[in-house]
Amino acid sequence: MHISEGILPAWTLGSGALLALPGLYIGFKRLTPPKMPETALLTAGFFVASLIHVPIGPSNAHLLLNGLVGIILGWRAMPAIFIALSLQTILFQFGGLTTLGVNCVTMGFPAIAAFLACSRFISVDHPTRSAISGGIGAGLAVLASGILTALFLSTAGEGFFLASKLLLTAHMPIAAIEGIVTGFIIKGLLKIKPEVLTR
Amino acid sequence: MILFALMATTFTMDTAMAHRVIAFASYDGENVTVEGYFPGGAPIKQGEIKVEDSTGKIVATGKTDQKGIFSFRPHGIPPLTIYVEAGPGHLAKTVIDPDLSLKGETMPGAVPATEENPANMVSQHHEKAGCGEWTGYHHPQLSQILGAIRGIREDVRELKKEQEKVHTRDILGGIGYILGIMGIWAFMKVRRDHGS
Repeated sequence: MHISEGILPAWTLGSGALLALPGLYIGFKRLTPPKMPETALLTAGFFVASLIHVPIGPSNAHLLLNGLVGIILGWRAMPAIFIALSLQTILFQFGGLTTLGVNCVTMGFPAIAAFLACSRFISVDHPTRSAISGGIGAGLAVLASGILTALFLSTAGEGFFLASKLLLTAHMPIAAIEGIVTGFIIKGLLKIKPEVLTR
Repeated sequence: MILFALMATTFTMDTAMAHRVIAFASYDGENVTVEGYFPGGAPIKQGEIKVEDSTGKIVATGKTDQKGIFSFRPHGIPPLTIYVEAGPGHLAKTVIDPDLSLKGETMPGAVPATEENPANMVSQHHEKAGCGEWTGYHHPQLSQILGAIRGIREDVRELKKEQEKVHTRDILGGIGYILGIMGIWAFMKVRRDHGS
């Protein structure tokens, strides 16, 4: 879902950066030393997940894991995603430096939305309900990323509805896979290490 | 556990197909051939192609084939800018200048193309034409030279594909950077908290 350089107009790039800043500020503020290890691990997981691609038509769709990262880390998902995206740009030229803000918004905002929507349903006493709500949240986070990407691309002259249709179609399988995987991970974490999810 | 599973999945893949679009263009004296691919070599199938000349006028459009290749006969004022799009938000750009490709020199012994001598056609930007006309010249030994150039360009393309691959060492390096950044952040935070 990375948007490459040279596609979006300058005002969109600036707006994306401005939108990302408050989320990054809150996330970095909440990034305390005891929370560093899990944040680092999930940042690394997000970094690696984006390298797993499935060819769909002329393009590729890749795993996002932004829903899982958001549900576990909460607001810390923003700095985690920002660091992972920065390294992907610098090391592999995925996305771009000027589109970093926009890509943070497209992937980070749905992560936080998943956290805000699903965290109230996640508890040790209800593992099945937690798994289902987490899975749905993660799947919807992937689709929301697609819609936000299409919204930004529409500022560059691409039709919003056409881009949405293409991105959503390409990412439906990814959303389903991530939903199922996240559900299982949440159920497992609630059994093994519930303090990661309940704080 | 999650990280290990992800890394195992990535490492077992033959090529970690990457999220960048790459375009490679070559000019053989007659046609410009564009190849669109992802790092690792996977071709961009049915990718949208747009070619603009130096004035911004669109001189060619089309789609890549199943091998990610699109060929066209160049015209217009060079250099040509070629855009390859593989889905929304994925765009690559490359520039080709036939004057640099063929050194802009008139081949010794070259004669203008005629119906009697259609073999070994060479296209060359003719500055005196003034409007970007691509004129043709013949040279009896040129097809051998062009064949050798084609072979070299294919080698360069394969080398470029190999360079663009995402290797395991790059992934491990990225993970190392993440752990390092987090470690430095934690160190600075603890120092600041102890100081206050």
